[in-house]
Amino acid sequence: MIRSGIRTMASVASKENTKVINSGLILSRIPIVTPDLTEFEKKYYNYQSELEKRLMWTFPYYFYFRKGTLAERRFLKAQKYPVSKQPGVWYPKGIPDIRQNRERRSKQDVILPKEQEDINESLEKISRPVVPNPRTTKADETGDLTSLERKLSRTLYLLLKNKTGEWEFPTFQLKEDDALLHLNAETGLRTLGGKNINTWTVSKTPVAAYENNNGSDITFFIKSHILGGKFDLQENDTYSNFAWLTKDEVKNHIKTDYFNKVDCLLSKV
Amino acid sequence: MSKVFVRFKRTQPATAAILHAQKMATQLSVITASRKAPRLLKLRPEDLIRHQTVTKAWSLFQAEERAEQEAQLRNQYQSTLDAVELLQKISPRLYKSVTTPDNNITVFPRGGLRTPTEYPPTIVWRYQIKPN
Repeated sequence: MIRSGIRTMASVASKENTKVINSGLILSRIPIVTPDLTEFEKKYYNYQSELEKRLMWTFPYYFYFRKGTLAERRFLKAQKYPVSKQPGVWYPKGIPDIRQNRERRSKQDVILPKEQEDINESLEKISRPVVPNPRTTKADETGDLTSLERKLSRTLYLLLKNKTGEWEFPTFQLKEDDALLHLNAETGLRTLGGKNINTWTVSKTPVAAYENNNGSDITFFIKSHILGGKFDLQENDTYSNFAWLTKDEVKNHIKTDYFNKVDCLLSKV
Repeated sequence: MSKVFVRFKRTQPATAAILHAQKMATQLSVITASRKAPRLLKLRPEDLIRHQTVTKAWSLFQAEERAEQEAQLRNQYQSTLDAVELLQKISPRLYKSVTTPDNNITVFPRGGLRTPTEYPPTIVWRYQIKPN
């Protein structure tokens, strides 16, 4: 029993020596804005919102604006009133059915009186108009692939270009005998991209394994998210360039069999 | 017989009661449908068919999305399973380290992942991390 046990241990150890184990890192920047809607989604949401407006009860303005106040006067002045029913008049679009200043056959447009607009007002002023930031950034316009601010609506993945000119996920060889996959990937990332990076490794379990063509070289992928800081490629012998890419761009950059391995791990949003 | 006049004694309670009643009436009218409900939506047959087509298309679209997502989850699970099995063959030490539960790593990061919003924040990305 003991002898056979020793033999298996020895055989496993020799097997381990023949293969080079790497830990790969799928480092993602999660989307900052909500996903872009498809044309169909846009149309469907518009249809639903119009239906809802058509079926909406008349807006009870008297509840929000007290009678005889300036606010009420401003509100009433801003409204567009429907055509009222007069005796002896022919209406091509049907006889008006008006109740509480609302045409009951169609949706009601509640128009809010416009405040005076001045976009250049200082940020300290709390009553300034709300102007949303654009969903596309400068990095999108210049096509800067190394920026973390590009494609805000998509998940970005860190790809590195090695000296042979091929793109791949950051890959680090396990050198020490007691090295762990996820720790090796984390320290590797920091030696490669500087210490000014904050990441969260989701799990220490590898999510995929990729064997190189000859099978002597195996990469186990660990998933991680970047939370802050940035990847700043340091001087090194393995990689020459880096890029933050969406799934579609990753597909164009890496080999097909490599992509097929990680296809299900990358988010399409 | 002398009269004693007390200012507003006659009028004030009556006004307050009216105001209160008016307020109640306004509040009730806000939550009831009377005089506020639009006309019933009467669709012509072709409009009804159009509506049903739109609804059906949407449910199909969502079913496709769901199926795609489920397939992706299945593939992810299979991929993890394959990787761990391969690790078991190659390196029992790493296999053990990977399959031993360790709660530290799954702790959600403090102040961590930001929920996507419709428009980006003014500072899109923080390039300087706080030193620990």
